[in-house]
Amino acid sequence: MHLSSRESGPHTIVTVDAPRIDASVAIRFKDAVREVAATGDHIILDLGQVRFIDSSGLGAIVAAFKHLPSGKRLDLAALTPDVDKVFRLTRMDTIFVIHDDPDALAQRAVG
Amino acid sequence: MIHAPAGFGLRSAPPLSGEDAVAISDSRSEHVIRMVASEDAINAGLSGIRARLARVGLKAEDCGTIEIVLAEVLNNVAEHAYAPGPSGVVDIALRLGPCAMQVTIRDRGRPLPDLRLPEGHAPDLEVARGDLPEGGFGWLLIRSLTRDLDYRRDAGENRLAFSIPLERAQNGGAR
Repeated sequence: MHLSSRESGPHTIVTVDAPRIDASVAIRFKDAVREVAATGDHIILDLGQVRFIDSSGLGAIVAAFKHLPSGKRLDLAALTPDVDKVFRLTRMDTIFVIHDDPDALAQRAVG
Repeated sequence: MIHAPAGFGLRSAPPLSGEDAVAISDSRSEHVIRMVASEDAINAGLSGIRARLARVGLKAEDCGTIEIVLAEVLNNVAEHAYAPGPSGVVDIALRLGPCAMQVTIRDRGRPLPDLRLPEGHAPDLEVARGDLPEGGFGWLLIRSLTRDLDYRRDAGENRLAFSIPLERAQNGGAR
């Protein structure tokens, strides 16, 4: 479970460099996001490498979102098809701002 | 030697080593896999199943749906049927039909509470950020993607059966 972060204008883009976020990495993921989210006010979580999440992975993303210091934003970007499906079925796509491209930030219609 | 549960038509199955998923029967219509119900074995087993589904020509969308459902069901077996306590084996039978995949999951862990399938209602999301749910999504995903969900408990064994409708009907004359 490797996260890399870089600045892109006012945004911190955090790229998840793992093919899956599931029960086996959920705790490490939460901790890793919390660490990189310590700096930067508007974080874009780039999930373009992630081919699959299960409900534990979704829960870990929600937990990271919930525990952001107040005033910070966490958006998502580049959801692959199976990941997008999990967000839609659980209606968690209405909770997050989801971008197609972390660098372009052309915001997709939410909900 | 591990004896396969009755109903599989096998009198014995090869012993499992560590994290291996073992195909314990494989015909044109049904594929049966046995794996240890641990996180690592489930991950490896799901990858193998997914690769096999792609090889028999299932669309990526359908492979994804099947993987999502199996991941949730198998995680439940690992986390609630067996844990806490030693993990055990879980048998997954997959039967591919023209419009749906029939699945039967068998394990010898604890029964579902009250022997009832959870409702899997969508959690309330009209809440403050700090109150968002971090769990309760598993059965919602399972129920959203399956039909004919059925649970039985018999002779110390849990049996969960369901069908997964496929996006596109399988072509006639599939391999």
